[in-house]
Amino acid sequence: MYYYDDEGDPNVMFSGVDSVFDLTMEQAMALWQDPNKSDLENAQLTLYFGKQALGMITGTARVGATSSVVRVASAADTGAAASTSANLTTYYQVTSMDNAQTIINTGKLTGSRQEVGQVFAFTEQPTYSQASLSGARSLQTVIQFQAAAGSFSRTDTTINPSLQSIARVGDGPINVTKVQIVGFKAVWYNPLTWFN
Amino acid sequence: MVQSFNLVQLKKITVVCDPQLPNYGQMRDCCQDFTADFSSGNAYGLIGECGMGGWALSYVLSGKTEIQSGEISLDQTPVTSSFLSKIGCYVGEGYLNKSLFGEKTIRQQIIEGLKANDINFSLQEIIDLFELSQSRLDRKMGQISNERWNASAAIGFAHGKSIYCFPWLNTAWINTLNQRIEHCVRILKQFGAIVIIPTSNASLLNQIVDSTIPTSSI
Repeated sequence: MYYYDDEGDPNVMFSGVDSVFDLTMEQAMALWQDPNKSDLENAQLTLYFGKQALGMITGTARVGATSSVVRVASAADTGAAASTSANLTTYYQVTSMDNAQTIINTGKLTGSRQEVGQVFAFTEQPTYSQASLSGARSLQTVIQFQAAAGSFSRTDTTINPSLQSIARVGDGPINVTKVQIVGFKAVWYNPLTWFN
Repeated sequence: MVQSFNLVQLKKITVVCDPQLPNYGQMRDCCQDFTADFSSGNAYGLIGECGMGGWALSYVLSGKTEIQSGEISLDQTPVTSSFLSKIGCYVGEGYLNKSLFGEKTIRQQIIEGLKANDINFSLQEIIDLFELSQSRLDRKMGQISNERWNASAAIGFAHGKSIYCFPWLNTAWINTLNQRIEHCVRILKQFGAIVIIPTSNASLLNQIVDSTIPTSSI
């Protein structure tokens, strides 16, 4: 099994692909073209350049690697869904009304001791059912905010696999701006969400 | 605890199985001729790459699979897989989780354990002991994020389990769950339980376990 460290240097004989690693284009292409890529059969890797998926290596789910993503480092690479302006990226977080107000007042997201200071966010506004599946502590509302690009650089591999494409994690505290309460994303089949 | 004992002995255990955990992963794992002693009130790291037997041994000690050969004994008395399932808790999942009306909530599973076993704790005491959040108590195991590890241990505790076995955890999982694992292990050891944590890197468990055991001599 291949493993790329934070500098993008490949190491071999590692049992799981744990996280998102930014690779250069050359490194990513080398991985993709590697004749030994069958060694990756228990992982699911997607190579991106910007928003364009270059290819995918899939296989059966394996511990901690059900949808690990290898992404190509690029100034244009701002994630598949998060919108970006002037190095700020828009994210969403499910939280309580009290916490939402605290974040608006302080402009800071702080992780709990239990989560070893990590802060979780979505790249898309979640629906209530997505929020429920995420296991967020409080399911009262959703805030939208902007944070420096790269603040939430890692895919949250601990979340339900169906949400890993939009779930990100970063090391707190993280400074945020333009915080506003937006509520859950409306769904056509639930009128209660139409006027959030 | 349901069963009071001092020593679990594994002698020349060989097992091949496909351990899994929902929302986590699964794989073929095997170990051969594994021998070790586990004393109550201690936590152990089973050290080896994924596939080298640690996860399979966790499965065995939580009574989720049968061994192919070898012997497991509690205080010198041989025990079966079905007996181990009564005293073992597979951390990360619930206990008797399914009912006619669907999966039970965390609260329901804890209360059920307290009723069925002679455990001298209240629901609130267990919530406090394992640092569970009130807002997640009425959800199912798959809807409480990383708190499922604490909740699973709490449910096992309420059901009087004595051996707590984690699935094989990679570096990222241990780093992410560090605080939760450390807390649960401290509480469980305090009450005389044995905790088993399979992983590849012994140094990750420095502050958590009492000793580490390689799963393979190769």
